[in-house]
Amino acid sequence: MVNNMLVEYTKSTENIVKAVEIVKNKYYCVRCGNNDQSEFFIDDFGIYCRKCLNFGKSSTYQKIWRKEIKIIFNESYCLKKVVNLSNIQKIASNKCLESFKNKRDMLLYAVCGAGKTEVVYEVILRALNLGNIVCFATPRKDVVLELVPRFKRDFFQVSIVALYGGSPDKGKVGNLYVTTTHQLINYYQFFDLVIIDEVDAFPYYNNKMLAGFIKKAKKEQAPIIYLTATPPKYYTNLIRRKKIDHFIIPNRFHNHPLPIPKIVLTYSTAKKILKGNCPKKILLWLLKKQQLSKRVFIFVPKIEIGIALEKILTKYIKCRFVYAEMKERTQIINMFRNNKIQYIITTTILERGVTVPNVDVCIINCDDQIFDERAIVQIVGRAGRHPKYPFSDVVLFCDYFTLEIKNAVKQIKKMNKIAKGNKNEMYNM
Amino acid sequence: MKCIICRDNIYIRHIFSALFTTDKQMICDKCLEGLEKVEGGCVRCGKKTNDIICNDCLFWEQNKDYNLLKVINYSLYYYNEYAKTLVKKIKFNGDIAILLAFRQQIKKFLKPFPIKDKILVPVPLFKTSLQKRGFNQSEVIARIINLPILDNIYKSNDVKQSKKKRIARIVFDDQYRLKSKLNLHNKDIIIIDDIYTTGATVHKIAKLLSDCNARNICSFTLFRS
Ligand SMILES: [Zn+2]
Ligand SMILES: [Zn+2]
Repeated sequence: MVNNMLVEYTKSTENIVKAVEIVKNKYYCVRCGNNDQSEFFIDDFGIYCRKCLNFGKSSTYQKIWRKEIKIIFNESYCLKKVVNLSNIQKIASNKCLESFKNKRDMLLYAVCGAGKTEVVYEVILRALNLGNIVCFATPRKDVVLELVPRFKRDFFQVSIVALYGGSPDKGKVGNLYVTTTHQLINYYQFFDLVIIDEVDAFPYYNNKMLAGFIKKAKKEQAPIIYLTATPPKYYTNLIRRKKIDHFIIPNRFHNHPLPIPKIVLTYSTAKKILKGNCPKKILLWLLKKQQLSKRVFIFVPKIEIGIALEKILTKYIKCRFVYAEMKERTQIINMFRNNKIQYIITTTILERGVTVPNVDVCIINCDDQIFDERAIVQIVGRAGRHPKYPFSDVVLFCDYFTLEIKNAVKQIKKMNKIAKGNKNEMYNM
Repeated sequence: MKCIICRDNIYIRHIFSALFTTDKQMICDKCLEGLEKVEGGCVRCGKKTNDIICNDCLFWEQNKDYNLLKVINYSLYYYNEYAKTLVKKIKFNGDIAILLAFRQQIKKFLKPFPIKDKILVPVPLFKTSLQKRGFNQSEVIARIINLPILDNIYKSNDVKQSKKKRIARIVFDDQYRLKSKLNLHNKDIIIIDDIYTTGATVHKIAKLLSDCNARNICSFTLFRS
């Protein structure tokens, strides 16, 4: 029978609970926290929750086995070599330590390229050396795949577990878990410190279920550190009410401001591309990059446009289109990273956390509603991330100006202003 | 009203006619657009082909165990990429809600057929799969059609007997068995399944039923691959 149960790992006492319970005459999904009655449905054996179906069927006739896990504790975790932090990064790092000690949640706000990940190294080590289990959660699988080798390179003696849909590490035991937020559903009162990357990114933002996963996966007292480049209103409100600590890293670690995007108007772009023609302005810009042998990220709003554009461009340049559901996706991104492909076309789904030095960026059909202010700022942040190549060209091709484009440019300018030291700007965002 | 599949709101275009139908639209037009209705193709099974009869059907036609059955298959949609994602949600995730949402489409499809006096035989599952999924998808479709259901067949994973015979195909033939003896004299049968692939399942069950003297046997499936 145990074989058929859903499993959640825990560090509190082992037990078996019902997956869907009735609380005050209402169904409640113990697994995902769903209590929206319209998300429950009846089958031949009982009632099940439709919200978390992708993680195994949670139902009145199903049980969750909360399996206790013992973790080997090594007590001398450290970095393999000293990571040089700037002064401001050091202060930020200390601030994290302080919040962790006081068991308070904290928001670490830093513009793209400010080196947020390095800032949390100290607090991760502090927690690990106390025998704690740390979780670094990010919205996307790509980011997990990118961070794990980096952590393995930097941390000494720490056993790192990478979790995402289809990960071979599933069920493995370690000290530091790098995971997509969705995978946290399999944990119950397990983590002592949770770091959430890109908290502004799509899955957390307005997603109660994932917030519930985090709450369930961590121990009650465990603090959370939120990392973000564009703090959503919800968090700035929490800061204002002093519910959580915060710290701002104003500059990027190489002290160069974010590139201000150029806006170029093109006409009926999507239509033309779908018909097999690429607007001249776009084509010329791309060909110029070929002469400069610069790598280029091309963002498109829809998969159809991506496929059509790839077809057009392969006549002139070496390019590949990647999207979320694609099988060879990781492979292509790696080829791009290793400079084997010069151009990569992608939908916004890939936009966050993937870092490649010395790239130029363009958004095609930027007037599409999928490119909201948040997305545009994040995409611009992809550019110029390497200290050696801080300057890069960012162009937004659009049929007309949208409010989102205007706001994004405004925000980037604001961020650059903050970078120069005017911290009061943050609250006006 | 929200679409069962994508959770977007359903906008009912013909409010007036919607008032008079008992089966509500539960899937939005956008999601339905991803599905392609079976039209033309093989006259026996609906497979997309330029031939009058497809290779699958020719195989059954030339097989002496099955050539007298003449099973005709009716399917609602082709099993395209989008249909695959739906079937995955229904069978792998166990989401019966999506299957039930096709009530309106199934009823509309079957309306022109004279099926009033027929008996439905849903393809059975292994007991273990049934418990894991929470339902038998074929039985759910049969319940939607709302005709008498014959529940006298089970799927067995007992292969001992066939191993003795050392004929691989017999293993499959033995998969479906009768729970008890049955006489279907003068009875017409519709075998119900979720997907029709090569017709193997349908023909095995049809053989079993024809051995019980069933008169006409046809099949209905939601998808035709
Ligand atoms: Zn649930
Ligand atoms: Zn055929």
